[in-house]
This record gives sequence, C-alpha cells and structure tokens, in this order.
Amino acid sequence: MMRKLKNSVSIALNKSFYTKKSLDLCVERFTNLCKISKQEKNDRYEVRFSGLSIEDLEEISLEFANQALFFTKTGS
Amino acid sequence: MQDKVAISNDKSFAVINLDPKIYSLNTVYSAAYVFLDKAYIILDGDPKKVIKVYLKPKGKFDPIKMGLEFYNELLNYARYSASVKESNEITKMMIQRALFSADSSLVQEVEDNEIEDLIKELEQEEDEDAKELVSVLKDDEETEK
Repeated sequence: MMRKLKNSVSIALNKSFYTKKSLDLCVERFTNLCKISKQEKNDRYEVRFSGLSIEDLEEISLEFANQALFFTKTGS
Repeated sequence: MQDKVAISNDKSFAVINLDPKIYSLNTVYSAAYVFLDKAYIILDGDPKKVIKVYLKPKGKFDPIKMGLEFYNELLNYARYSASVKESNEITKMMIQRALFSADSSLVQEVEDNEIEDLIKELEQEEDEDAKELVSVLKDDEETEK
C-alpha cells in the first residue's frame, strides 16, 4: 500500500475506493509541494512522491490519500 | 473486543476489516469523512467481500482507541441511512400532500390528467369494439353468400 524507497515514497490506492477524478484533482493540488507521478497498475493507482525528505514525503502521501478520499466522498 | 481492531506490521496503522453486508461503502465513506481531520485514512480490500480501513492518528492518539471510535461512527451512519430509507416513502407522501394543500390547482391538474387518460382508454376500447363488429358483419355476409 505504501512503500518507502531511498529517495521517494509511493502509495498504491485501490481503484474500487477512489475515483480517477479525485486522484487527478489531488495531483493538481499537490504538484506544487513535491514531484509527483501517477500511473495505473492493474486495480490500483500508484502515485510516487519525490524531491523532499522521506519523512515529509510520507506525510504528504498520507495527506494525499486523505484528500483523495475527501474528493471521492464529496464527488468533487 | 479489541480484536476488532488490528495493528499493521509496521505498527503505524490501526486496521479494521469490515463486512460490506453490515456496513455499506457509503457508510464507510461517511465515517471516514468525519475522521479526516484527526487521522490519515486509506481504504483497501474488496468492496463486495471485505472493506479494509487503515487508520493512522495525526496526533499522539492510541490507534486502537481511534479504531474503536471509528466503529461508533460507522454505527451512527448505518443507523442514520437505515432510518432515512425507512422514512423515505413517508417523506415523499408528506411533501406531495404539502404541495397539494399549498396549491389546489395541482389537485385539479392531477384529476384532469386522470380523466383524460380514462377517456383515451375508453375511446381505444370503443374503436376495438367497432372493428370487431365490422369483422363479424363481414363474416356473416360471406356466410350468407
């Protein structure tokens, strides 16, 4: 679900629980904080964060997941 | 009771496994929405078999305790959505009645529409009867010949 690598953190969100639109909105919103790349892998959206310390990236990725849940729930 | 909330391997998340037959996905979303300010939440699993909720408190809260609080919130929303379903029909009727009493022309309009429909049905039946009569008369003529 969440993987910490040497210089990056990635989070794999299940497509059954998060809409594509919510992920796109989050990428748009978080893109000014750090480097973000998103790709679809089977039943998951894998989002990779880099460009900051691992601790910061970890917090950003968790907040990213929260925002994705918010946008999914509110249908934004 | 604490076995209802597990702790993830890296000990940072409380993990709750939910049966979607008991707690619908909408109920889970609603409960999660309330917790967004105080915890990081990730949903996983299979929405038809088991919904896994990963909770990581934002402050220095006990993840197990937070997990149990999450159950309370789930129950709150499950009860709410059940009562909304139950009262949905009654609410509809009350709104209809309120609209009718506010504007009596609506009642007249509905009655007029019903009468029009009835007249159309009768006309259709009459047409069919007339067609049947014509075909019977034709048959009689042919048999007389």
